[in-house]
Amino acid sequence: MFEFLTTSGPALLFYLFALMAVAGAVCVVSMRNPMYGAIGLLVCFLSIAALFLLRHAEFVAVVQIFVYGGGIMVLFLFVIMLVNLHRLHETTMLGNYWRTAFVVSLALVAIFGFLFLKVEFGPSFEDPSKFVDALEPGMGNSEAVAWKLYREYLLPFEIASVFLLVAMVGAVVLGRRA
Amino acid sequence: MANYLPILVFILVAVLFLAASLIAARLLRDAGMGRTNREPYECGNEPETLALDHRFSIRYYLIAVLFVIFDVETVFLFPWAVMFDQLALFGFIEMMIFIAILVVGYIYVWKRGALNWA
Amino acid sequence: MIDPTEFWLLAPEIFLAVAAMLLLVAGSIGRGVRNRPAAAVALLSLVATALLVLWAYGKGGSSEAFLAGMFVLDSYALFLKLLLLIATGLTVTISGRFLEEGGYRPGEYYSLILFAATGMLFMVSGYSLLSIWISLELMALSSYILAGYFKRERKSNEAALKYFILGALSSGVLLYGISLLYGATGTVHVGELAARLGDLVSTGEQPILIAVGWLLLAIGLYFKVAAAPFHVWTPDVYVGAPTPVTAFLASASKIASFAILIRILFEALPALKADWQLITALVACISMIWGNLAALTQDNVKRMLAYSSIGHAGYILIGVLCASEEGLWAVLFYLLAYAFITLGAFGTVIILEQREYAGETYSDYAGLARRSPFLAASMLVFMVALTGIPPTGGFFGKFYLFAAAVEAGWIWVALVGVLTSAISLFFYFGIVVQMYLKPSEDTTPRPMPAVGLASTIAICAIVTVLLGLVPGPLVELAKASLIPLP
Repeated sequence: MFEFLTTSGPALLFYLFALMAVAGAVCVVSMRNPMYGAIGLLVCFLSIAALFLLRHAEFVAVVQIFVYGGGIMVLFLFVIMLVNLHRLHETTMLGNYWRTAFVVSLALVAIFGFLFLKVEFGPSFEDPSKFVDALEPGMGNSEAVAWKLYREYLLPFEIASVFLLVAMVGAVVLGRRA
Repeated sequence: MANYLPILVFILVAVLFLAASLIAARLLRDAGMGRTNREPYECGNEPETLALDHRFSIRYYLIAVLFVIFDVETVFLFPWAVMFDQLALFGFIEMMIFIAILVVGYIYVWKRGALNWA
Repeated sequence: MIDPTEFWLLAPEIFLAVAAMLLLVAGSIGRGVRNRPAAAVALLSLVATALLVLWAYGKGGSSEAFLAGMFVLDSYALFLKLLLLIATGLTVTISGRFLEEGGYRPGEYYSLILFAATGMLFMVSGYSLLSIWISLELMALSSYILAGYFKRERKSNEAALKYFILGALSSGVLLYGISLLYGATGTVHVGELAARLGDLVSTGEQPILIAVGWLLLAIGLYFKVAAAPFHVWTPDVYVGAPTPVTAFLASASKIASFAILIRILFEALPALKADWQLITALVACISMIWGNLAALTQDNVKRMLAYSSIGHAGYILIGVLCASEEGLWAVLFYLLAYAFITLGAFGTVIILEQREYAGETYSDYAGLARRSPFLAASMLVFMVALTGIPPTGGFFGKFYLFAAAVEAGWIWVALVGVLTSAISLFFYFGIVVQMYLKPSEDTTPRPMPAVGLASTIAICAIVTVLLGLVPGPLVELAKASLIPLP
């Protein structure tokens, strides 16, 4: 029993969190009460963070919790607060588009399913801990990200801050009453 | 995987604490669940309207968006802080420029009165 | 690893970003800045940026990538940067009216235009898929806000929302493609990507990852240049956005998107040349046919120009798919000519339109030749140029594109181009007929338009005609601004 857990533990954990992520996503689109949908979204975000952790992508996992689990969730809750929910209850969910939506999403699932079944990923994909030592031995994931981001990707990083500034301007320009 | 043991313990403690306090509350509290208990604020004041009955001011949304933007900004601060020593003066200046650009945004938001509630 | 002196090569972009921030802060203090001073500051910063571009190119312009391979300052980037600055400058000069009449704050408006221009300048210099992508996003985000700047008009809200949702979707598709190509090759650097893709393609490794990756990347780019069948956002956004913003989207934004499309296809994906040539040929034909046929049925001039812009994306793609020297300089020539033509045409629309989107239908142009001959004459020039009739820049632009296609063996694509140009005669000349042959119900002469607006239209009309009379100098300039062919 213990041996089974140590050898296939990560795989089991992967399937557990993957299932939770999918269940959360299904909740988001199927729940009539938007609050339940929001909670489903949170479950989805957190499970994806766990999946990142399983791939030894600690930094991305933290970002996932920080930005999506924190910031984006707050945004969603504010939107739920802002719209008039009583009117929402009466509208049909997909309307006339459900067939198109169904076909398109089925096609997407087929394409990506095919992609991931057929593609041979490199050896590092089998052993994610190799990602960590890619740059310098002993360097963690966040350190590796920082090393790349603040040296090689320096100017794109500064452009990102201008981007955030424009986002702020947009929020004020469009959000304020004229 | 062993590195995650503290996190696992932490999660277990969190779950146990929640479960224990819920069970304790159930055991200790009065059996009757009156109307007052079901109100959002059990203070005896009647709520004026239901939360879903009227729309809120767009200002709330503005605040939420600004929150997300500064949230994303802190994400960039985190790896920088981890590697502060190795990135040296170069990294310090770089981050100061990053923050200066966002301070421009902050001044703009402030001066435009987006943070005033009245 | 990074040589700080290399930052001088991007001094123009940094200067423009700082200017935009100063304008933003100045516009937010107290009652803000007035329209004319704000426009003057924006124009001056664009001129200064253009001078800085020339200076930076003289200092170290070469086809070598710098800043850890993130950016490049070659003659191609130089040509496009100057063109983008001109298009942005002309947008600034036609923007005053709607800001003054609608009572919208000019400070933020002009600084958003400058921020978008900053993103565009970074885009055409980008040499890593990531630096290109983040610059593209800077441009796109500024454009979404500008499209919704008519805050009190429902149509403008609709335009901003549609543009944002479909734009975000296309950016996501683009990024997905980049990530799959990164998964296959382990790099986002344009030069390295080309080399590794070449190896992988010749050994036949990872065919699916590469195919889906480049297709998603290309689809994202077709979205950005508004080519059919990825054009659905275009008509509503072009109609709903304030007209100066529409002009900006149809000229500068389109030029910058084409610039990165060509850079990525030519320099990052030369190994897949045969594949993307075929797909681009299909997209070009669908755009030409759909854009021109849909434009036939329009009653609103702005919407007609939106479909016409889809059609022109198709014409420009003809030059791209040739993947030859002739095709590339023909594209550069056409981008410049099209920028002037389309800015002039939208400038004319601005003069005629009134509040709440009135004055935009064909019948509003009836008898314009009698009421204001100058305006009618310049609109005639733009319509003639869009159809591709001499003596205008539009004629030589299309002529060079079709000639390049025939030379490269894409005769059927050139044929579709010629046929759709013939169709386009009907809707472009629909306006001409209204202006010159139909009597007007309203005989009062139009009030003189503002000096900035009138002179912009005059400049655009003169340049359009000049390009049709003496195309030589621009052709030479375009020929000197090529990138390595795939």
